[in-house]
Amino acid sequence: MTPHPPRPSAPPPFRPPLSDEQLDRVWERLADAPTSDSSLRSPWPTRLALGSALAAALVLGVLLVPRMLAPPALELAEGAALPPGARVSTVTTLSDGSQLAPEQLARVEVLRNAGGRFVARQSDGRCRYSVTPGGRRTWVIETPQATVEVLGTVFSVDARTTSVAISVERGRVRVRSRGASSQERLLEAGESWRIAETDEVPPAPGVPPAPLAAPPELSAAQVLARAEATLVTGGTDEAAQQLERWLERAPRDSDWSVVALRLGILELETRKAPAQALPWLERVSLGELEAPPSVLEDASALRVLALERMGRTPEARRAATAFEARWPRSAWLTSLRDRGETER
Amino acid sequence: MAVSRRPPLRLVPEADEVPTPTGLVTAVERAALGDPQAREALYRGLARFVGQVLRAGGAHPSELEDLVHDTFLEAFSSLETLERPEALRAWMARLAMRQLQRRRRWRPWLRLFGSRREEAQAWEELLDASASAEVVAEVSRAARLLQQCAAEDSLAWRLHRWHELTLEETASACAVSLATLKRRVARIDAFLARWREDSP
Repeated sequence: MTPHPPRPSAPPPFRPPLSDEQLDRVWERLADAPTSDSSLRSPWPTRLALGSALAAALVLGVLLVPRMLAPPALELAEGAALPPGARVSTVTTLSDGSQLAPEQLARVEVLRNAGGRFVARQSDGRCRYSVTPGGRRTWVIETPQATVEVLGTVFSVDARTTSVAISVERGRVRVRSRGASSQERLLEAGESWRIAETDEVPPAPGVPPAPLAAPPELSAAQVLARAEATLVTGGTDEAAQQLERWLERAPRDSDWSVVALRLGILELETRKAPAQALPWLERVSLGELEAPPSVLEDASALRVLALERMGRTPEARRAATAFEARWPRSAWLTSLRDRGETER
Repeated sequence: MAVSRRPPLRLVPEADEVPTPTGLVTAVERAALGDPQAREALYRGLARFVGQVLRAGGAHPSELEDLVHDTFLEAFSSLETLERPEALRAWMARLAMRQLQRRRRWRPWLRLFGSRREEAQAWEELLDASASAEVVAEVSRAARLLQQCAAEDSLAWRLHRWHELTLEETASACAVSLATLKRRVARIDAFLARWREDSP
């Protein structure tokens, strides 16, 4: 055995970090995630994937030339920028006179605002769009069930968990449903189309739209996944609201404690708000409801940290001592001991 | 004659097949616009690289899948902000490390997985089965030596020397300037050189 460490010229032969099966599994999850602008999917993906020089030049030309001629990005009426990732939660008037009017609980996020395209994603709630006609800008609203391409109009989108309803007041829009039986339809003023994940058949023109079904409750897993996705895009406050709303609506759910713990962590670690975190952590840790042992343990440890950060040191010490007595082999003890919260 | 409703066959990019420079610009452009084939091409070309960066950063094997997923999810939603498509690998390395740090922040218990005591052992287990006993011993010894160095220096060195990230990619992953990165790598190089000289 040589005593020398490996030299820079000879990197060690590492195993691939992920197996082929793991790679495929991750891709399946990614492929299921909504795309930001599926309306621009190329009809020649194979050629593009091959990267032939001719196709690349053509595609770049097609993409770049319109951008050079495209109108400037939309701004808020008062001149502030509206970059991708911006969320619209109140009535908002844009620099071209267009207006977005989300109702309470609506989730509207800007995905793209450049190159003559304004793309927004509406994943929840109802929003009324009044788009100033006559511009060279394309408007696209993405929902989980459909893509709405705006052709200068006033219309509303009501996005629910498993369905979306589009109603046109003035002008017209082109709606393309997603899913295996994807359909496209041009909606004129006065027409509506409700698209459900399991029922994508459009009603005959002129038939009034069916009333929307009450939105089904999200499962704990769904709301957690949604909150994580929101966090990825920096929507900390919104993620907290999503979790809190769900906790209020589903007080008897068997996974309530898991979601409450997640909200507690978010408040404590991400928002640095121990006072906000503490009530959630206490509801889990102080036995108000049945919680899985690991959740109970995590919530109890985090409660100690929350108390400590709030300056309630004596209480934190007592809680830490009780924690150590109950979970003497817990991995959390290292962290708590480092903070001087338990007896060494 | 019955009409087949099966979707047309399509090419699936091979793993680790990074698009050519011209194709890369196109793939990034198309992926930014939501083209699923372009996204898959980028994913297949870079997923293992991202996994490597995460592993070098101390990610536990059990959390790798989630971290790779979250890294690409963030990448796909912010590709428009990538100013130089040719710097895609460096950018992905930065996103991967950011995901890792974010996870460490909100899940403090996962820090336990990255403890230094376990790290040396983990490096051994990560070597290819074809690695000789001598190589395993060398890597294990070097990993233990690296524990004596500053964590950020060690990370930079491992990414650059062991995982062969370019200086630019490593600097991006570590969120430091090229000059700082070079100093960090040089410190470890000097440390290991001294150790070799002092060894019997």
